[in-house]
Amino acid sequence: MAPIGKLIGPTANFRNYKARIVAKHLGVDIETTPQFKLGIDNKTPEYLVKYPVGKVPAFESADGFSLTDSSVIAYYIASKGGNNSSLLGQTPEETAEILQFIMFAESDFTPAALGTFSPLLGSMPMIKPAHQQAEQQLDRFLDALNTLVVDRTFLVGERLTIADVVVTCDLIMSYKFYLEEAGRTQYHNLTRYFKAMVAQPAFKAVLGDVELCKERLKPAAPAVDETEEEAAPAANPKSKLDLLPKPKMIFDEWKRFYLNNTAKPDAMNWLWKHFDDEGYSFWKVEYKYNNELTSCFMTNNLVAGVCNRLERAQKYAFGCLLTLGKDNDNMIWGYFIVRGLEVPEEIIESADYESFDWSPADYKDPKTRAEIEDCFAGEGPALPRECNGGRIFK
Amino acid sequence: MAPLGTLIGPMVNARNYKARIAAKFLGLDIETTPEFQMGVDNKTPEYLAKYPAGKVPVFESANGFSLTDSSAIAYYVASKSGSDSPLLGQTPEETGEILQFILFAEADYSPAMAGTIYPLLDYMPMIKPAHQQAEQQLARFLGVLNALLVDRTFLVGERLTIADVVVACDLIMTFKLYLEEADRKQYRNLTRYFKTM
Repeated sequence: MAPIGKLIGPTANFRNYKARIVAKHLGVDIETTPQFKLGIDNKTPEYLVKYPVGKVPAFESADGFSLTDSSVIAYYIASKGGNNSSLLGQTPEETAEILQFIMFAESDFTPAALGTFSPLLGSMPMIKPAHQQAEQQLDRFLDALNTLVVDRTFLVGERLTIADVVVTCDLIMSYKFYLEEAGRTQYHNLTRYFKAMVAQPAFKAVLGDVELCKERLKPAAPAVDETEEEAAPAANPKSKLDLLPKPKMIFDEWKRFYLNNTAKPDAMNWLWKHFDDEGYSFWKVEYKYNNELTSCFMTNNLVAGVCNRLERAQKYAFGCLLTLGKDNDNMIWGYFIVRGLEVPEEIIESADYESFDWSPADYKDPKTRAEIEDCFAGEGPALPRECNGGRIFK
Repeated sequence: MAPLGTLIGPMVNARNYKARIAAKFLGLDIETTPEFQMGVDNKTPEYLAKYPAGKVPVFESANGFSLTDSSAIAYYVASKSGSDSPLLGQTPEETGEILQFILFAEADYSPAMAGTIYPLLDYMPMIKPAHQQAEQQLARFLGVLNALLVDRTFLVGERLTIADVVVACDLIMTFKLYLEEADRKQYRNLTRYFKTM
């Protein structure tokens, strides 16, 4: 029998299993990609043209139809795979219940689970408070599922549906890496459900024997990327600026105050009150090629790109780059605060540095000060021309 | 016509709108709960006994059927207007595409949006690196949606579907609280789509 299509993605992956279990259950054939490398093959230009979000798995049917999202692919295969539509619900109510479980599993449970496991597996940086929050959510949802299955063999109706396939696959990591014996006993209804599901022929054929967690995963060195997401950016190499003595103004406090208050007068008053001119310096930033700029819309796009490419300096800089003027007659102009008394290496090494003039600004000079205030506010009489957009770099 | 059921949850809420929009579009009647207090009424023992995850909105039909998840409820409402409901897919492929957008909106886009906007609203603690990551993801997804919409009026097929209802509702907070004028110009296709919806 011809395969129904190709499932593209890493094969030892809980999301990949869903469509394969459905196919097995229905007795239809589906191709897989055993050589697929997560984080590499879903980042190629060819892949991203077809699947712009870069997620895996993706599915390409024999007649050219393509689809993303592991649960949706499983659902689609069930809808195409012959008369066994019982996987999808026999009434509108059952179909809705199935979707309810899929949505819960994918938009609530799985983000909490990945937020808990990925830092332990090293595929995401460990940020303690975020990890703690994810773990609390995971426990909350395990508890909810445990309650829901107390009197059910299957999640919906009295037989296997797509809801069971999706939820069971989404539970795999919890049972392999997280729930030790005590946890499995605590959520004993859920454990009974999970064991019953993975023992079924279609599940067993795809998953093999699921080894339950002996010892909960502890934070480890970076290993397999279990997420469908891009890997988080690598930690920045140490900056010379980290070696400077602790400044009197904390940059993050300024940034937070600026974000949560009006620029003039509140945020600027805070800044003048707290500014530490031994730890920080002001710089005026002007584009060298204003005569090449066209519409303000395009200039704003350029400014956005510049700010994106300054990412490495994020810890050490704050600024506003404005588009001043009108279409076909505008300029990029702004001010930055940087850590230290020189333009940081992270800015000098950025792709756009050569296109701008960075000149030291004396905030004690009244004219400069007025310009800085109006720049950070995005409006005001001190601006050389009318503001038509711009970006805050923070 | 007798109402299909009751949508239980806070009224001024993007998730609550989904089912109501679907019902309105199809000429179906659903009751709502204008006095519902978010964070209070969904934390009572009675509520949690029925809906252990404590989420809102939930739906209770006239004949005792109950359902959670705003998108599942909207989908259900759409399915009750007959087997060829215009808001649902007319082929398995269309259904697949609709579900693909719903899952993207709910499992990818909404967490990135919430991770970006909620700490700014104090709904969630501000943890800078997590916030930054959320913001990067949000920008990425906005770019993807914007590129997708360059030559589409509706997300699936050539008409309004439940995919548009879910995605447009999930975009509300982004357009109300986050995207400034320059950003709306940057994501002009998405802005056009949102305004049209």
